[in-house]
Amino acid sequence: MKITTQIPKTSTTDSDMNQTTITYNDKCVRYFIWAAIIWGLVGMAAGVLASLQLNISWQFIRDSAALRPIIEFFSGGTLESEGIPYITFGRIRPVHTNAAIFAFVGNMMFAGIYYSTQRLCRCRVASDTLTRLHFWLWQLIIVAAAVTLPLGLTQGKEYAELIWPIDLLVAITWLIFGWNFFWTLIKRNEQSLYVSLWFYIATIITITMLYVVNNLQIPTSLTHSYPVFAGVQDALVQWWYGHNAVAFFLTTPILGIMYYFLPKAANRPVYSYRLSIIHFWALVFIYIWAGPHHLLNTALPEWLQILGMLFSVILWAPSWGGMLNGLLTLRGAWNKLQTDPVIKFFAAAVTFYGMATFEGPLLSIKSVNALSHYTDWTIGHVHSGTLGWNGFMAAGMFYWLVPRLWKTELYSKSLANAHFWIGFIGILLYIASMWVAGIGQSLALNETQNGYVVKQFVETLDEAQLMLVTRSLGGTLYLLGFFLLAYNLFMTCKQGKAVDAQVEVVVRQRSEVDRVTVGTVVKQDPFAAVLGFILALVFWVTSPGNWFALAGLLFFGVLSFVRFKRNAKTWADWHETITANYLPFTIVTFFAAAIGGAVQIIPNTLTAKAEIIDDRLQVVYTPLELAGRDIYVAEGCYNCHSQMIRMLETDYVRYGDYSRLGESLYDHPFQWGSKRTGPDLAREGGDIVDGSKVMRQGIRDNFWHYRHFMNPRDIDVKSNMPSYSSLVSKETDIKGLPKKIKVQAMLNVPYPTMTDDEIEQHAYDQALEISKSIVNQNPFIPWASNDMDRSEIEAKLAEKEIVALIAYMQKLGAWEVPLDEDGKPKEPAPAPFEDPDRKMKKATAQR
Amino acid sequence: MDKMEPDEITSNEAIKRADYAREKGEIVLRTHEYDGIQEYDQKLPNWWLFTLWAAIAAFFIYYTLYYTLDLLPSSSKVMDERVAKIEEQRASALQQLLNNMDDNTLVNQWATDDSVVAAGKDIYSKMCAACHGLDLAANGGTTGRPLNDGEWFYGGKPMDVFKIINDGTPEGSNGLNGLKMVAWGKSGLSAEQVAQVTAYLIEQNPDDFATYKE
Repeated sequence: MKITTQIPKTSTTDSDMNQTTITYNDKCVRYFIWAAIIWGLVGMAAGVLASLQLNISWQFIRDSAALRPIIEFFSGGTLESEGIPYITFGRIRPVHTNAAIFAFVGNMMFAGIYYSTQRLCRCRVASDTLTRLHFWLWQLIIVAAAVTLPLGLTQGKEYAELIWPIDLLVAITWLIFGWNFFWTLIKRNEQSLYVSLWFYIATIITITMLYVVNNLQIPTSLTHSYPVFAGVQDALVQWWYGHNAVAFFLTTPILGIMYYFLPKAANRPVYSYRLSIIHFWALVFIYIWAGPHHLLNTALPEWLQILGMLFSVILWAPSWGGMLNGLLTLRGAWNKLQTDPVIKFFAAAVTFYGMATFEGPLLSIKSVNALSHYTDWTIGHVHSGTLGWNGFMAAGMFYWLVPRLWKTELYSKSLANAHFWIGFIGILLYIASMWVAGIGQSLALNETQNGYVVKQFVETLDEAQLMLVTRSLGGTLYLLGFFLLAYNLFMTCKQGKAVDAQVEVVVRQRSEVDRVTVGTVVKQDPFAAVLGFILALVFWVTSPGNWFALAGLLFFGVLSFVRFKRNAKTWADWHETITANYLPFTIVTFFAAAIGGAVQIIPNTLTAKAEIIDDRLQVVYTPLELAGRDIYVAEGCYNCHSQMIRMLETDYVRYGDYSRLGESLYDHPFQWGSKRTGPDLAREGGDIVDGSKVMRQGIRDNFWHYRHFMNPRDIDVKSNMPSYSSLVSKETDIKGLPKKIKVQAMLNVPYPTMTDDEIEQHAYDQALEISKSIVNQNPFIPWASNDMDRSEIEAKLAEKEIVALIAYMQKLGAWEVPLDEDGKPKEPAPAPFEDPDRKMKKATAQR
Repeated sequence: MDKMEPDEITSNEAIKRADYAREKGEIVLRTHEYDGIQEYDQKLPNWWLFTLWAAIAAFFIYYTLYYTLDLLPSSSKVMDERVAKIEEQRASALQQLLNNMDDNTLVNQWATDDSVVAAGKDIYSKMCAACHGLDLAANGGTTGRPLNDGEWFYGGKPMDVFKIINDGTPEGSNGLNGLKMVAWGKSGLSAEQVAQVTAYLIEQNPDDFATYKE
């Protein structure tokens, strides 16, 4: 096929030009690369450790006198050996995820962005000071995270575990990065913005929005806080954040990096500019809507679930647009696949991206999700994205960059090839074993007979054990591959010499760039037509029964289509216009990214309120139960246990009545969980014991829980839960309760008015009652000695964390129907906004 | 060093050329280079466009059917129907079992059937042994009531044993110093499984139930 090049109009006269030589700031790139490599190794090692802990109940290890103590030591310990409580699964998993996402991919992303942005703007980064500050603050954050997370200082929200002072530091550092980036854009000597920069812009503004909203919280102390959202509100906000952290931290910046480094490495033009445009805007607009697919079949209002599911399916094509543009750019360079490790890594990474983004929509379909959710399948899916896409993009970029930044050749091509194959096999083992483990366990759990389960939860673990070991092996291979990378690049650096690139550029006057005004952008055709369509869409998804909304949607849909067909050139010109100025581009991007979240979160926050709910309502925690809940959160129990019985037959049969929205309405933060490494706990609690004011008993009694926390394998040898024997020695933070309850009350949790002393006394009384019921059975207490009398032991045990945690366990799932003065169910207050489900329910009732 | 690029926005001639190329079905290579990176402007693959439009259409169709036209059953309705069915299934299974089961059949039929006793033992070891001990001695009576000491706290008839396992510690009872047993009939064991465990306990304590032996 013939290739035509657009012919330039007339060139600008040379007299306008002001040539000068600039030096790029490549030092920061070198720093970020090594930070990424080092933290990557740490994060991956934490992952391998966490995965090994899950093999604790494997019969082979159970029976091995040599292996079991080692594994138990690294997962909390048994009664005989205290073990290391700082790295129990619930604490080490957040270390792993935060390190992999924010430390490894974060530093890698910054390296790629600083390198490519300077070159795409043809100017040095705006401020070296801000760059340096950015680098060191980011490393400080990582160190702070690595210290606080093992200590159990956490917010209890996935990928947002860091406590509030660190959150603030992250926000400041991110703003410094953003400021530096946009300042560089302003100073650029390039007329328009290349597609990589679009993705960087989307990353910076969207992550800012997500991070700030999801981390809105009120501190109760220097290290603890409660998020302002609760229950279903918090669930939606959290997964809006969690899903889009994947989108805008692990995907869009890496796509930007792909658009720069892949054509560079392949030395081929990008396949299709218009594909870039379409898939960029589609990703930015659609991704945000898909968050609720993490909450399918739960108590989340159904219209949100349906939006999450359907938008996830729509997301498939835009994601593959990125893959196609990457892979097809390699056309004509496929021969390099054999010789160039960089191309190998890039090609595999983009393929894994395609695979993960196909699997994602598939898992978002409600019926598939019923099988896959809460299982290892999800873990496998995530890792095909992180190991395959992120990890291999990182490796390809490092192998390409390091020789250039140190002005030398790569130390060893064959080592890089070895890394590729070891890593590749590692990923395949990882993903395949997780498919088998996840689907297998799910099928075993789903098996029912006459309305009862066939297998108990622990029994389903046995079948997965071999696959879990295979996963650990896959992860270890991948880690080994990265060690090869570290060694190879270290030797490359050693033989080379750090050099900052110099380039001659034509300096542009400020009057020459960014001339397009916001007004021009807004007034033109595509913006107006598409805006009309999007507003109608927002109106319709929130009021689907409204025929005006549907008519408006059709009108603007047809209008946009006709106008585009009639004059595609104006639309293309419009896009050229906005890529010529960073500000209108950024504003349009922000709105495109903000809409999906606003449509879902605002109505949900308005309607998920106690006074509006006409169903079950959570019973407020007593002070001790609240303290116990904070321990549950601190230990990271949500990493393995859900508190959400889904609207599925299998969940109902196994765990009891499905969870209602109101049952977790006062939970700051929500603890619905996302993975069942252990069983669901939503119905674990029970009623107040006869003759007691506050002590409750659920399915199991206090002593059972005591024994179970001390050593789960005492109850069932097949249990894979860590031992929490350290909780019997640590004291509950009773003194901190008054402040915590004040904050809870501030967040509209209806706590009765109590003085500080009353709160402490109440907590202590409840603790003593539970402690007595345990001591009654002559339990093994490590610190109890013969010369202590019984009341002394009871009093001392009452102060311990294990008692508070048991109080919380016994409260789980407690609900009431709010009554009015006559003892009849209370009439709910009118909702300020009727979501589609309520409207439909009302319409059905009227019929 | 590359020269300053022309301003593409106003470059009519360039756009004209590109239009011409597009009309002729030729691939356009855009003029502008970014740090040496060039871009083609290939057409979007048709199958790709199809998946995009199909998914968008699916969204509109599904949402319209579900909410605008209210033609699909809501998931809470579906779930409530399923729950009713499960509960009916459970209740009828229990009723059927109780119709054909009494003290005598438990001792003389259930507890004498090896496969029933084996199934009961299997369940016992998984669910009951944690508190009552594999040897039925309940860790010396500390974690639950021993089941081998000839004492049946909640009634010594075979059906009483069935009942305590199925319903858990009776309401109003303080259990064992406050320790209360799970109502297994509500927490994972079918009536048949409860009967199997009962049979196992009868088989293990032949003297206690000798009076029912035929």
